[in-house]
Amino acid sequence: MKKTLVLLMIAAMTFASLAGCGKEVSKSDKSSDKVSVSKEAQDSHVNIALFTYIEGMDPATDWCGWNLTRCGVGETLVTVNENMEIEPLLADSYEQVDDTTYSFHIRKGVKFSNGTELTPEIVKASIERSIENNSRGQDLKIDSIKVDGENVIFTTKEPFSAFVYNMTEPMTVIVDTTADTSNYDTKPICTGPYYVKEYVSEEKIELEANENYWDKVAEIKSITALNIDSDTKTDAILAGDIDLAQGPAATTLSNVEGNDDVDIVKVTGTRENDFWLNCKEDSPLGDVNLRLALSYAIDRDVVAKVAGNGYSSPLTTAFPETVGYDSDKVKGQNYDVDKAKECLENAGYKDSDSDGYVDKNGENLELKISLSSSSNSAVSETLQDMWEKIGVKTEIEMLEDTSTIRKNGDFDILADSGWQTVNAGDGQKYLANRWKTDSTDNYGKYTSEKFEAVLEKLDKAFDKDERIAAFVEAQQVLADESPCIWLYANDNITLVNSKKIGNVTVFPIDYYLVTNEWTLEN
Amino acid sequence: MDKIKRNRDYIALFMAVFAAIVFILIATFSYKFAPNNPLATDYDNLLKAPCSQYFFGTDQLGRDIFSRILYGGRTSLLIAFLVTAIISVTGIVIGAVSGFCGGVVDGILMRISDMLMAFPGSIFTIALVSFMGTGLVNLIIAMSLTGWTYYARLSRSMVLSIKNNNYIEQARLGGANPIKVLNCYILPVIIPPLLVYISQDIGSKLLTIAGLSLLGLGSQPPTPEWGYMLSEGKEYMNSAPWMLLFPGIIILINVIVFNLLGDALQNVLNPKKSAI
Repeated sequence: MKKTLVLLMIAAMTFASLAGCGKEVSKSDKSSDKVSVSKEAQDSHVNIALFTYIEGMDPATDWCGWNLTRCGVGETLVTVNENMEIEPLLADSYEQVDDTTYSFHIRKGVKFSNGTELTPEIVKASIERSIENNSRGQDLKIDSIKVDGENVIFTTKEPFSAFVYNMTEPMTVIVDTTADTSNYDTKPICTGPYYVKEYVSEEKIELEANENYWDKVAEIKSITALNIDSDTKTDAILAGDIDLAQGPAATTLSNVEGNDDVDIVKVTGTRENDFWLNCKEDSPLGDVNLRLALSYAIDRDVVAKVAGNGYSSPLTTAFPETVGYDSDKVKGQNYDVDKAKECLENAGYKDSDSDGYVDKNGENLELKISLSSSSNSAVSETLQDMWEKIGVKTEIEMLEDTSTIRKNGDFDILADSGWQTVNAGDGQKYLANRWKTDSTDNYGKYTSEKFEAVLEKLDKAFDKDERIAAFVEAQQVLADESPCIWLYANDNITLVNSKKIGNVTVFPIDYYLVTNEWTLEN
Repeated sequence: MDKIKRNRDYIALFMAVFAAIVFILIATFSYKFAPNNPLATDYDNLLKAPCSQYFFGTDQLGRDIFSRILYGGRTSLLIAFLVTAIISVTGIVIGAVSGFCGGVVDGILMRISDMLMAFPGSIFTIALVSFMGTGLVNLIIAMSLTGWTYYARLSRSMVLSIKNNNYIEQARLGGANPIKVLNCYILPVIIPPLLVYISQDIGSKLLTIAGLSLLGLGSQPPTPEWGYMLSEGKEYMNSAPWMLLFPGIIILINVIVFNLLGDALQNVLNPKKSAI
């Protein structure tokens, strides 16, 4: 109902805007100059839909920084490019002085959209502001920030090898702290190629090219980022309401396949989809053999096909390959029914009463798959079907709200989706959040000394190769102990109206989108 | 003239009953008609358009939608009948007792029904299901708890209108105890007009079940059920419209049939069309 209403409203708005165009053209005889200006402005305007529409624009609040990087409004000291490499941005160079000290040289000649010059002092104040106000601020592990001439010196509380990556986290977007920051929730002053002209809660963000931008000024003069549901993004671009859509639902893409105007630009994303297994000792899944059996029984090619409609890749490890942590070196559980049955036997399960389901001590093994009632049950049903083939009986339970059972670890198997594996350009935080003993996000209550040891190793691994080796080790430990069942990674898809916008780069990390490189096509 | 109309009414009733019986039979013997196992997946034929192998196409797991609709009818119709049976019987009994006894009993029973009627029925049902947990059994319980009040109200008012008739008085004077009076002299009079309401209610219960399953509160996957099939199909509205189309049409036809049955019944039982 809501969707229909939205569609109707979009249709009505389109109609209204078309009616407006007609009027303007008819006026053109009288004042041709004025019209040509507005026509040019209209031509260099595009409408887009963001991956998700987050409420608020202040990087110091929750996840709002992600809006800023997505819209090309905010910039961090360093950034991650489309090949997942660190690139200088507001800092033109950086170096690691010792295990806990980093020095960033601030780029000269950078101006905020209001004309204020960027100084190392503002950088310090801005990052301190984010650390103080954002609940994730402590994750940066910053002890102190000092200004030293043109450099900003960061000292961390402990050796923290992922520090530079963490400076790409959008909560560290630099804002002008010398201006009035009270309205930054709607109109932050940043350094990016665009600035926020107008912010309408739950509806749209109006962006205008920043003429003070330190690099090439954007060719597209204005952008409207609309709040559109992922199910309707494809329809919206086909209807011409938007010219670019980030993250349309994969199930809707068959409508644009083969369309001449709309390009599907994709890259395997950095988000992964998995199901939690309850590793508590009193749970049947506390037995690693049973977990492995479940994992071996899954044909992930099929799961990826069901889930992503051809826009997902199968996944057997904690990181998608695109992240660059050598996931191909990790031995996960590839589809092997015999192996699954063997693991079941190792766990002590056998079909002794020949009812088609395995049992132990005279009791059938019955597991519950819990998922939110608003989510698609297709993957759960596929897994249920595959597990049935090895004799494991499962029941699907759709819940209005899964947060309670998630928090209490009150489930057997829990469907979860879309974890960002590198939310600061680096995967350590994701590993620690999800599988470190006592971490708040460790819903499956997994504990492993082996894994904790690898995490410690990661903290001290400053060398890139050493770091990747540690990530491979972490993935291997997780794959061997299967606290989760990794299933698939969705492609990051962006639909682009190629008649309107050109030179669009699609990043594996979905909080990057708008750049100053976009061109207008005709 | 009247005779012709009367005959027409009987023919309409006959056709409606026939259609309803056909649907019930199809649902009951779905395992005989269904060309495929409704739960069997076919990962090579995901989202296949209707063809000779799959009359209504396949869904996102390659399951045969035609077979799923046939089997789904079992779930949907069975629950609709069950719920209607439960609420009509309890409702009528409570209403009749309440109207017949009057006094404190009437007061208590009707205040309870007032309390339940104060909430919009469907919202109350949703709240109850959310509270008790999703699933078909809970759905039946929730719908039964909220649905009986209308029957109670109707039957109570009917009992009140005939309670003081002479023949009731005579039966009492003749020594019939209250239970016998209710059983032999009151219920037989009030039930026929209520049948109209009951048969129409089956249609509306079908819609309610479909609606709740659409919201994910009723049937749990992979059990085929029309409403849940709609819910699964809505994400594929663009790429596989048949996932929505066929369950939708079937729900529509069934609701129409049971509503027509009610109308036809009303015309036959109550030719003057006085409101019940």
